[in-house]
Amino acid sequence: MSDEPLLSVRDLEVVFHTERERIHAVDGVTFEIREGQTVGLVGESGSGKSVTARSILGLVDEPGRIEGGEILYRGEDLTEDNWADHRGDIAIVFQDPTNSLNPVYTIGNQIEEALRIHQDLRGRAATDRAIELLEDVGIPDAPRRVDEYPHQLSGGMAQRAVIAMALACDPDLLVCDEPTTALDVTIQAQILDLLAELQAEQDLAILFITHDMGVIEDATDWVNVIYAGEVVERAPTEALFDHPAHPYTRALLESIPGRTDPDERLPTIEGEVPTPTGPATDCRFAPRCPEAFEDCRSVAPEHVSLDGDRSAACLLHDPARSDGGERQ
Amino acid sequence: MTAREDPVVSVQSLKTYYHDDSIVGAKPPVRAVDGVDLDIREGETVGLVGESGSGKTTLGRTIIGLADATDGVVEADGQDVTEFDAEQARDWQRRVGMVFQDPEESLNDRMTIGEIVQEPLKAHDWPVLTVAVEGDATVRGSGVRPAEPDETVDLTVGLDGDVTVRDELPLSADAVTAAVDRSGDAPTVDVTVEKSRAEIRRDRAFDLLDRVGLSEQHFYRYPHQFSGGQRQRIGIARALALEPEFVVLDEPVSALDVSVQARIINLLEDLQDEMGLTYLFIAHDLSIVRHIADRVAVMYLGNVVELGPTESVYADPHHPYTVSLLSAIPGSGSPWTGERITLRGSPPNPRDPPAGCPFATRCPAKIRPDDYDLPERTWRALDELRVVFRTRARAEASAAETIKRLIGLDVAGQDLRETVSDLLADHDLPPAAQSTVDAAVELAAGGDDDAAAEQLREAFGSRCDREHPEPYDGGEDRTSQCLRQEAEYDGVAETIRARQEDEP
Repeated sequence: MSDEPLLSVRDLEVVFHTERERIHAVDGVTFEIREGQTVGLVGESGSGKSVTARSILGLVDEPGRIEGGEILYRGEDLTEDNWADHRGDIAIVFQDPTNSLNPVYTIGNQIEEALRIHQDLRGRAATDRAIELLEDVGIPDAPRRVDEYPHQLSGGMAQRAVIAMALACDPDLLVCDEPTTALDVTIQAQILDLLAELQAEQDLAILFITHDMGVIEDATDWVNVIYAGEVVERAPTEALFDHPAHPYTRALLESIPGRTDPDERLPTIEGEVPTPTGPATDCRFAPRCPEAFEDCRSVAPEHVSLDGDRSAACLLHDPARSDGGERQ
Repeated sequence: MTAREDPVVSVQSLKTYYHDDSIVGAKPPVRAVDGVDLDIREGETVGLVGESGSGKTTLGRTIIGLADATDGVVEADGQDVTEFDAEQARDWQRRVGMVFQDPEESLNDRMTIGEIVQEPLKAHDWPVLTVAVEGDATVRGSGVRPAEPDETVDLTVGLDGDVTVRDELPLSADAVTAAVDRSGDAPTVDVTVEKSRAEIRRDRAFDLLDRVGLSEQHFYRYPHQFSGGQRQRIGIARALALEPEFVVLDEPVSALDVSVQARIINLLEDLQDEMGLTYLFIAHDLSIVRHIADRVAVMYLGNVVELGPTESVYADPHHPYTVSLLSAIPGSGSPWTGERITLRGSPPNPRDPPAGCPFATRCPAKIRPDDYDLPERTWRALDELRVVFRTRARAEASAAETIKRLIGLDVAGQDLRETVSDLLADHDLPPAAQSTVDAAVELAAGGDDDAAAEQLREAFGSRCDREHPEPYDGGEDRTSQCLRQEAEYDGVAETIRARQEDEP
């Protein structure tokens, strides 16, 4: 394993142009993934996490445009239209398996197509490999199921088939965009186990995008918390859960029902996630932040390095501006 | 323990089956709810959890009369809801409410919020004000009727003509006049309400919006102008319009972000306190249920497999399915301290549920027969093999396969042998067991998958495959439908932990 990250996203800017305004859906997002690592990107709807995922694959469509920053894959900037060169290196699994599969082709056909494109496998060899992949993702009776159509599979099985398809191109990085959100909790557990297994076997790096803090806690080594297009905190997973440094992370963790005594009211975050329509001139969380002070409304916070190789974009951690610099 | 008052709703042996309407190829019905007993007590919240397809929503819908029961009883006030005629059903619908999962789809985009919230009021010609007179009197007037005994009284009239209006109503006593005529044998009271029904309804809608945390300005807007959380508030206001006693909340926060979720949950708890509501809270998120529910009912394949006070069930689950569900909660929200239990496969088809315990096909604590002494992983491999046969027996052969069979290509048989050897690859079967497996595989290769499955069931099946467990009383207001509740067996959690230790 080299010291160079497998993927390094730096100051990524994705802007959506609508008739009335420019929406900065992703506004200066920076994070890294090393080989074999699982990195989480967690945030609420509208935070820009899915747009970030799609950017990495070069899948941002009009009216969205990548307008700044770099996406370095093994040091090579993908945003200079290099996606085609790395098409097989990065694969994506989306939330709803039924939307990722074509209903008129068998599972086998679809995996074989991926194998033909990425591995130049055809005929019997492709079919055999497709069966192997289905077995790898834990689909029982694979030789038979390879001839089935997507509607014949349950949600969990369909998501396994989608993962098999993603693995067909033998990727180094798997981007999982809410891969278990549409699934039941027991099936979610199966898929999380499967991803962990695949990772151990194939030294796969995984970018895990979700709104579910529990999934983040189970599945990732490292987390980036994203709010209104900006990463507001990054930390090793355990450290983040033990000592969230950003007030938004704290609020997010507190609002999970399992962490509050059932007899108490759930702590809430008032207000809504803002839509960033211009460059940040303040802390975007300040209007909802219980700890905001005056500077928060006039200064866009930079990331402040904290103990343990982590950082948070919050003035509370900026010793020059806050007397609470040591808090954690 | 909650006081054993009369339940608001008592569900007894309830079955709701869905039949296909097609004339050709009639399939067996979907047994969405397959024999459920559940009392819902006044003022409590019962959490109903289970995977999709377990019948949670159908149970909720059947209780409030949105789905037709196939068999069994839903009792309210001593009457069977499933037997109601049209008028009684209308009455019942006034007393119950429902909040749906998807706030994007449950509101009509062409109606204003005001119209949406007033819709149930209009549909039920609300308000017809109930009048009680101090002393015996005949009541007359439009938009009013005498209150029945035990009914909520809207207007109380004294024989001196004094009027009091129930607080909940957006009506001031000044807008009501009561003329008392004592000339006959019994006094007659003529009630005139100055405020029109439409005005009362509109004001009621304003009150409701206020209750759920919205304001008057929202009355004139359309659903697409609202966020998911606000839309769910509108759905709640609509469900509460007719002052129900009992509300079915069908995954009301599943589509919402956690920070919004928390606010809706707090709102639901506040409303319950203020209005004395009884909730059936359907959810697949077990952490939320732990927070909001007094008791929890765990549903699997149309059956309530475990029922009890929430904290007690979460701390010490009695049914293996409950254990599995709790262990599957990701992160530190799980109360299960052991290794996560990963259930194999997905639930069986509700058109064709297992003959014995509905959970037997996936159970991590399944009772094993004494005939063979096999490690648990071998038992599972054998179970899985049977599932393969069962699945094959129920799948329709594709055209290509049929042709291959016709021209004598044994492709299916070959694939099958591969699957079998994969499944049983590193298991040592005693000779007697091995020959049973071989015979079954031959049957399946010959096309008789059913017989193959049956053969395996006879040789390796367990009591759980044969017997449908009745609810066992687990004390402390708890029941569990699991044969392991019988004294001769080891407990569920104990068994699961022991098996986990044996098979890392």
